[in-house]
Amino acid sequence: MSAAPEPRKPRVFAPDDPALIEEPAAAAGADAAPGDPAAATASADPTVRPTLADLGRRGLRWGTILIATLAGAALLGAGAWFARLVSAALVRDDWVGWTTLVLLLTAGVATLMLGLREIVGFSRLARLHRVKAEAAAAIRERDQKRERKAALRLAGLYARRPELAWSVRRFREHARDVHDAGELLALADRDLLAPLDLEARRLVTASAKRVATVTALSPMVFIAVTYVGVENLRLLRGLATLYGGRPGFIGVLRLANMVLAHIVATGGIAMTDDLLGQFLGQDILRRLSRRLGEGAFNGALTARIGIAAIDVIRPLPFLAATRPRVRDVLGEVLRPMFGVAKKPSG
Amino acid sequence: MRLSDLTETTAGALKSASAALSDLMTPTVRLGVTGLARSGKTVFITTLVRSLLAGGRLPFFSAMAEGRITRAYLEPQPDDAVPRFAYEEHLGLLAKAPPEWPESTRRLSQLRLTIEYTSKLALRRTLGPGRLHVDIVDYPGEWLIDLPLLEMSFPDWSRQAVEDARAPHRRQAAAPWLELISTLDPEALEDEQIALTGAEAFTRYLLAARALDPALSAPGPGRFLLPGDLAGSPLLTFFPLPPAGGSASPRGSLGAMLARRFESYKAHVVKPFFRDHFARLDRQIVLMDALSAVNAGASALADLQRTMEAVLECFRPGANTWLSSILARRIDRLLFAATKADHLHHSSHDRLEAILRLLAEQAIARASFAGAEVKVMALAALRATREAEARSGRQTLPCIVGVPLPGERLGRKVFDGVAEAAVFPGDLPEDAASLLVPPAGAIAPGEDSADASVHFPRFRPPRVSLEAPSGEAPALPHIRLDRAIEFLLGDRLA
Repeated sequence: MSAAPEPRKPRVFAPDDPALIEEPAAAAGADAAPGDPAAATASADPTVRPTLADLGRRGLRWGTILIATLAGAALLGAGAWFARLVSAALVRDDWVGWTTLVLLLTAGVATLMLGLREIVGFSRLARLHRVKAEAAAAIRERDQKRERKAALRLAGLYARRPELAWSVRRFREHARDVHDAGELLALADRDLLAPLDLEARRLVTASAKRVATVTALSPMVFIAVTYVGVENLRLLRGLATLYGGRPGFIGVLRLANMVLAHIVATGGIAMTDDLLGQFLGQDILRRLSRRLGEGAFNGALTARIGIAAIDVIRPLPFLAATRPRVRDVLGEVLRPMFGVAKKPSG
Repeated sequence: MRLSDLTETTAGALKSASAALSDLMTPTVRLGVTGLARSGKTVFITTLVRSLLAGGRLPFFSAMAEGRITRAYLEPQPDDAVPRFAYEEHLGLLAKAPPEWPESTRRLSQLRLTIEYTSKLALRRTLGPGRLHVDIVDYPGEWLIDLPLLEMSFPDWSRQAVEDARAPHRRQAAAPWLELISTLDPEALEDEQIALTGAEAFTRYLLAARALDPALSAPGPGRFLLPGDLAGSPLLTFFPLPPAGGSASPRGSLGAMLARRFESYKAHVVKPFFRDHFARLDRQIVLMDALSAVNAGASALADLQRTMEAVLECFRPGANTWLSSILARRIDRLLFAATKADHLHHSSHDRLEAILRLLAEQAIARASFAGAEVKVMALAALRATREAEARSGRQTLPCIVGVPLPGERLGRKVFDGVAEAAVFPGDLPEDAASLLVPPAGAIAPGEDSADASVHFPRFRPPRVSLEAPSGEAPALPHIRLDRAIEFLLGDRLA
């Protein structure tokens, strides 16, 4: 009959048979659910590799090695110079020497803490990334067990967020009634991530607005450019924190790298969708006022980066929730600017 | 075409016209819950209503998940001639200790549920009333098997009934009746006494055939099994009697009298039932208890397939049946549900769906061809079991845990209806068609459960608590009920 090598006969087990393993979600007090310990071990795991770069591992890159070695040499030189400088202060057996020692020690501790924080930040991002990879694999293979694992892990990730308490609870309650492949993650997408998406959109809009305003008002190009850079990094960090992976500084840079790669990779498609109308609109704006045009452009850029960052950071693809679009954000950014634009011209 | 056909068509058209008019005020969805006896119609309706009223756990019913349903309530019974569906009573049975499944339905009943919602579409929000009536009818599944009679003539029906009676698993029950009709001559003069005794023997045979295994799809006519208010009426004093020569019997003969009564049974019992409750459906869910049929073996599955095929034939939205003209409304969404999906582990649900797809193959093809949306799913309107895995040697057996009904058996174990048990019911075959092939050395029904390769015992329902201490109604456990509701009603609540 069936293709199984040995046909499995119907059998009865007593409910207290030790061979029996009940489904985990059936327990009533499953609130401190199986996702939590996994998440805890993930964050405590010190040997986390920064596996963020899912954009393909390439082989040896000679250019990188050249730059790295040169930078290393320069750093060594600077270190030697600095050591000579400091040791001159250290050898003095008076208050200057002691103060220098204390300062150096404090600096050492600070560096250590920064490094630790970087590692923790990386591990958080890596955890997010693992959930993402697992979810992607589960969706690809339509494997329900993996899917359940990924979804519970995701719920564990957000279980301690007070603003998501209700969503997580509801999700765990519903998760027991879901049986088909692909549905559990869709549910997680809708219940857990959709509220975060709203907040993410708000963050992106606010950043884009700030960038647009500062660019339009700043007296020097240099200030504007710096501000755009800083604001974008801040936005990335905010988004990553929102989705559960608060990164350190280097983590943010890494993230920025990925986001740029993402924009480059998907740019062609998005260009027709979003940028065309945007350029047309901004050209008119630029004719009204160069400053305003630049502001709008920078704001649009920030919005683009923000949306791309959401794509990169979000632990699930958009299954049931709607993806925020640059156009929507832009509309909100530009509306007040047009209000401003009308005043000087009319 | 006879005059009554004409008037009926007109009346039907008028009826749908008036329905369309009242739809302008408040849209109404007529939900047809179709299923043979014991396929779970009553439980489905009860939990459907309960979940909508009390806000059940329905994550994939989008209108509810998005929080757009503001209120759902039961309307006072709209039709004074039809009893109301005893929703509270059925729910009460499930809340008893120990809980019980609602009894099999003995009469027709009806319910109107009103859902107040906020539409997602701006146009509908401004124009529409934001209200939807859902009309649901519950009826004895036995009556459903009458629908195919509408297309049959008396000689055809007689021949088929005799053939059915000679099937191996019914032969024993049918023996007295078969013996009786072999002595009768359809050309003989009509005689009321012969009609009475014949009908009685026929009824006894039908009841006996059903008693062997009530889950089996029984041969009809349905009112012989469940007469309702027709008990003893001349409408029921007939029985199949194949005409001698193949042509109709002469006027005044026994055969002619039986044929006449058969025709009036169709005209006075079956047609009104169909006309009032099935002809104007918008959405239909077809519940099939495939698992019981699998339990009972290949012949039962084939029976179920044939019966459902014939029943669903009546719902054909094509031309050239007398009802298609009444069917101004077409059933635009058709859901085939294999009920009692909680009686096996969810990893086997796809196989159960495959079986259902095979059983309803032609109906699915026909409906899709006619342009209706068709979906097949394994469903448990009220989930009676939990899932577990058991290790046995090197294998891991996917089990279900619940309280089997008293008298259910698996292998040598007979359940008492009190103790919980974890059951591995066996693997459904990967190829559903292999179930339709009778195994070598046919076994009589009712005796094969000891060493069958699959057997699904029935379980006691979960205890439904009507109100939690906190005052809110706890949600009922189910399997894919939300998907089913979404498919049946979701677009009307968009």
